[in-house]
Amino acid sequence: MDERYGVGIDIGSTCAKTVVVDGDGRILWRDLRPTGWSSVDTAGAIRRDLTEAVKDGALVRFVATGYGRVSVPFAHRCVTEISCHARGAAGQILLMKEYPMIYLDNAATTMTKPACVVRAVTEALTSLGNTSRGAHEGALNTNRLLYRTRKKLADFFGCPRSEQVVFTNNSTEALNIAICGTIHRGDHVITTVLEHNSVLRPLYRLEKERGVQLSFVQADRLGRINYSDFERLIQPNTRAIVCTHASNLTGNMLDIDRIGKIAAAHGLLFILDASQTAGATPVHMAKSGISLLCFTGHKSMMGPQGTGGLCINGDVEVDPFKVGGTGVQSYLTEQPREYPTRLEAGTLNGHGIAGLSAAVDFIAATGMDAIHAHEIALCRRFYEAVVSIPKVRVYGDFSSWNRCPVVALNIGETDSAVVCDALACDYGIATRAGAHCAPLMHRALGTEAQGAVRFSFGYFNTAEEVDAAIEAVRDIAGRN
Amino acid sequence: MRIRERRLIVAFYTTHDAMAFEDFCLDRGIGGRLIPLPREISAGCGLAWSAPPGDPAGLRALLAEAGVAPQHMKEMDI
Repeated sequence: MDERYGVGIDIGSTCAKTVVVDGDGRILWRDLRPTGWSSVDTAGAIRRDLTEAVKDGALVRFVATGYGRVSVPFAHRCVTEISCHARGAAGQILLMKEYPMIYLDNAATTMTKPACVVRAVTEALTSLGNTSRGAHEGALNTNRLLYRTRKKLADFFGCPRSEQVVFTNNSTEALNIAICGTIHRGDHVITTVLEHNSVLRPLYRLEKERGVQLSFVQADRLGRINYSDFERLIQPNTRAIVCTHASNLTGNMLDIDRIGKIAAAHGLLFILDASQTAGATPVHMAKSGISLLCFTGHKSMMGPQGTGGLCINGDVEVDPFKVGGTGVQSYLTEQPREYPTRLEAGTLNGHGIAGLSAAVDFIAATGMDAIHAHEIALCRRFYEAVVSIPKVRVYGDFSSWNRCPVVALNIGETDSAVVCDALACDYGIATRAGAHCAPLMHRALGTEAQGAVRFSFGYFNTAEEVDAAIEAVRDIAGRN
Repeated sequence: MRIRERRLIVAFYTTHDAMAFEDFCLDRGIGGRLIPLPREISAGCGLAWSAPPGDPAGLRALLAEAGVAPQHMKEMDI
């Protein structure tokens, strides 16, 4: 077991107080000195002096308080006197016992990336020029990277043409391009109440700006939909079905084969938001009849933030969302029509894409089935333990484990933000509270006011971490 | 200045096509390399494939095998 220390630094307006405690709360070192003119310099001096009290290699958790707390850049947490008084000093000291953080917010982003992704990004930072901007080796290296990554992603998602894999910064950008580039004035679109705002807001905008009509497939209190609603809602001017593969709140997964067949039978575009599934659940555009697939690189794909893409199936025409420099056909006054250039104005995130490419390799080497099985096993372990804890309400349909590794819950009537903060501060467990950018899903679940605490599991989580989260939920439920 | 030499130059519709053809040639050990698009072909920017001269039919066959449609092909001194 590594040695652990808690360090509390209070940078006050006149003096700075520091205390070092060990894992059992024993005071090992204390210090009092004038804050002086520069609280930053004072914090730096304290840190240097701390080396006498804290052994090399020990795990240290810093908590900073006082008006000058922002001057302690190495603090793991800065808190006000008010929060100290509210929670008590002991609550703050507890922070050190949870080091390192148990990260259960993988549906927001996977925080731990495979080592090969880290290496790829690091190497790219000193080896890539700008794609399509020159024919020197630096630029060509980036061209080659993008070309190979497009091919990998086309195989990965069953996209028939690799030149129709378009890089974007995230799913939101891909969805904006897909939705705004294919839905025209007077069109009708069918979507669902499971959607994230990355789908809803582009649609609402088109409703306002282009007179687009929207219809929503509703969900019941378990977040389930009725698939026949898609057919029932089709109108003569229906252009597309736009929906998520899985709810980011409940983890409920939709049957995209079924939706794809409905879209194909009625000649509709099928635009899929695969933000929550890409990388951990197989998605095959050709097999599922997906016209436009939008994915992000930083969640289940375990790539860097700022990566993602739009895959275009067949001859779907997507108007560019942005126009500008492409490095080719520079004397054209309009954006070149050819994919992927049509939709990729401006310098791409080559460094991030290098990481995404490595992430795809990691998933292929590890096996998507193995990744999904591990994540679902953790999710199931958590669900089956918390569902029977008194006062705990779990949201979503757990009748099948063909779902995303997400469990959203509430404890009694306590504000989800309060539970989430207690998990973070008292147990070192990172979760997500609030609305999760899914307003209609919360409305359907009846959780608009309270929100929900979302636990989402990733490939690098362990059973021990899940057990700690279970005990934390039990503990908080017992106190409320 | 470098001495000009005769080359068979291929321009592409997209950078993706250029990279696909380079990948195809590298896999098969076929000579040639990507160069900046010469202004004689197009007054823009972009990439072109520079191959040894004398066999445009052979190069067309390779392009077809690679599934890449050339935008222009021309023998020229560069």
